[in-house]
Amino acid sequence: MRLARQFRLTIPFAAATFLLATAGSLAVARFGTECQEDYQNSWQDGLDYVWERCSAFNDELDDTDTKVYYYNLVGAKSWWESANDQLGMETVNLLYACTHGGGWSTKSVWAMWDQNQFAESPNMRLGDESYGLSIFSTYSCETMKFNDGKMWTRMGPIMRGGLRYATGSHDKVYDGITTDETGEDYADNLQDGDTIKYAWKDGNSDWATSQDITVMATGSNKSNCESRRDGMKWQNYTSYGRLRDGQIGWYCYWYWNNL
Amino acid sequence: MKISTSTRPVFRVSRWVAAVSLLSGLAWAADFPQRVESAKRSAAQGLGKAEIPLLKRRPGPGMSAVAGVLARKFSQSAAPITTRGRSKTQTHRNRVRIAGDGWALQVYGDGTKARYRNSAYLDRYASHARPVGQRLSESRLEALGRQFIREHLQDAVVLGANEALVPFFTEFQIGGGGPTKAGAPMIEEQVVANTVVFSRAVNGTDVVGPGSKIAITFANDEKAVGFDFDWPAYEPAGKTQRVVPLPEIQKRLQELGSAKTDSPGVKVERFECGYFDAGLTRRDSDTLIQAGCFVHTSARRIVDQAAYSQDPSSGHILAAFVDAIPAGDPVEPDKRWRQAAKLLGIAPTVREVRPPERKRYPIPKP
Repeated sequence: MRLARQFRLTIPFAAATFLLATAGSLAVARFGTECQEDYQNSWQDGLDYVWERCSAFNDELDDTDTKVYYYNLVGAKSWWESANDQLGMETVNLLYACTHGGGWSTKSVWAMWDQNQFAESPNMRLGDESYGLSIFSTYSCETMKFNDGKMWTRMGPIMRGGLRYATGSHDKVYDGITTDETGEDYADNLQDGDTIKYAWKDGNSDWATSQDITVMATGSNKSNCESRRDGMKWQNYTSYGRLRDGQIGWYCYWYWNNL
Repeated sequence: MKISTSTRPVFRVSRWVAAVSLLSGLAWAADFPQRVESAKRSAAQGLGKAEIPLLKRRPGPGMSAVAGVLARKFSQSAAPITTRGRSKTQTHRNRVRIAGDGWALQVYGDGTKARYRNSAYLDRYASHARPVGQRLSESRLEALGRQFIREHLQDAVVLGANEALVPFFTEFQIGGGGPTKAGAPMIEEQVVANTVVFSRAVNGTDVVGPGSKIAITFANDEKAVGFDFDWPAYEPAGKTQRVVPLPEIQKRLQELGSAKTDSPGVKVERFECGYFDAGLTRRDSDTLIQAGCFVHTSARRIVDQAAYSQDPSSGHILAAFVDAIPAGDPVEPDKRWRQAAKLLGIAPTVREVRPPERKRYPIPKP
């Protein structure tokens, strides 16, 4: 009798536990998209294919996941930086953005629509508020530059909040007729279960445009970093715990270059 | 604002040509000599021909048919490029994906474009990474690539009469990083994958753009681990197209290009002329393959003068553009090619959704 009652209690509990666990691994993720094609008073060159790139990314990824927002970069500086990121990027798991960028000696910058406004990496800390951003993907030039040995100076402030993965470019990614589908291809690859590194690389390559593709991750040490960099997928990234501040002992990257 | 070049002094054109020639010679160590020569010719003469025969694409047998052929071809392979074992096939709107244990084969559209990756093999083999200086050489990669195409892709990559397979460039996957401790040096970078890319020439005229490209990726053990091709069969369309001279191409570039090549901070990174093929997924299937120049430009704009004055590697925004400039007259209609459509005064096909400004609404808590 006691055994039967235990059985009756245990089975539903186990089933519920299993269902919750399964739901966790298959959960629909949240993503946001922030893109800019033209700029106030033409303070930056227009990027004629950005709306196509970003809307195709949205069309593809929202087949399986939840598009939380799609915004332009008008007045967006504070939403990228710590002032308001808890109401922006931190409300999604993956951010996809397209705009101009730059890699300075002490910071990476992303151009906003507003004249002379750019988001600056020392003012950014992602992954520690609201849902917590996990994957930060920007189709922008140079923001993941490493060849001056200052990649961590530039990207460290962003990653220290617990951001799991960043994808971008160490030099140039091009805007044009042959790169208008790179967003859609990246989304396809993520949905297919490719690792993030190859999803980004293959999504942005066409063997005619000289794309400079880069990805980076963090780890407690070298092997931990490389394991995270090489293993994370859109389907499993939550199984890699967040690393923040002093937990991060190493940063690592891949890049693809014409040599 | 578009700037007309009709009254521009000739010396500006000459300066531009000289700049392109110089860049072509210096900036691209990965390019095979054939590409370097082609770039020099493009900078000096454009296509270097007064007219070219227009081409049309022969439709492929379909993505499912080609996926089946490739899957069967590699089904017994013990090499890293294999389709052995259990696999799952998914058919999407414009592609078929067959995926097994660590590998995936994708075939697109009419079957003239495909991609294969064995990323599991490459990741396992990452422990055999080697310093950048010890990467596979250009000549070795060309030989390995030609051998792979000959032995494994002969059905998909067919060369027509008067067509040539042209080595294009090499690309490498390189890893690095370092301790986050302040002042700690980065570790030595290591190569894990080596890719050779081939293009096509038709009657001695190069095909520029993503169409007519083959890429084979090799691990450091020289085993192929991936390939891509976008390789339609071309046939004569039965008519020719006059090719405009270089000054006219340059004028079109100024009018239609994303960046003005004579403005401060703008560099022409690449200038390559030939037949332009935008690639399977971007082609207007009804149009002919015609003359065009594929142009990479970059623009470095100083946005923080104080930061730039203190440190010339700071204070800037970098922009990069790739433009396909029609080089024929008359230009054949192509709705997917914005610059061609603009020259013809027709509306291009643009599929885009413009985002709104951010709304300030309360975000739900997780």
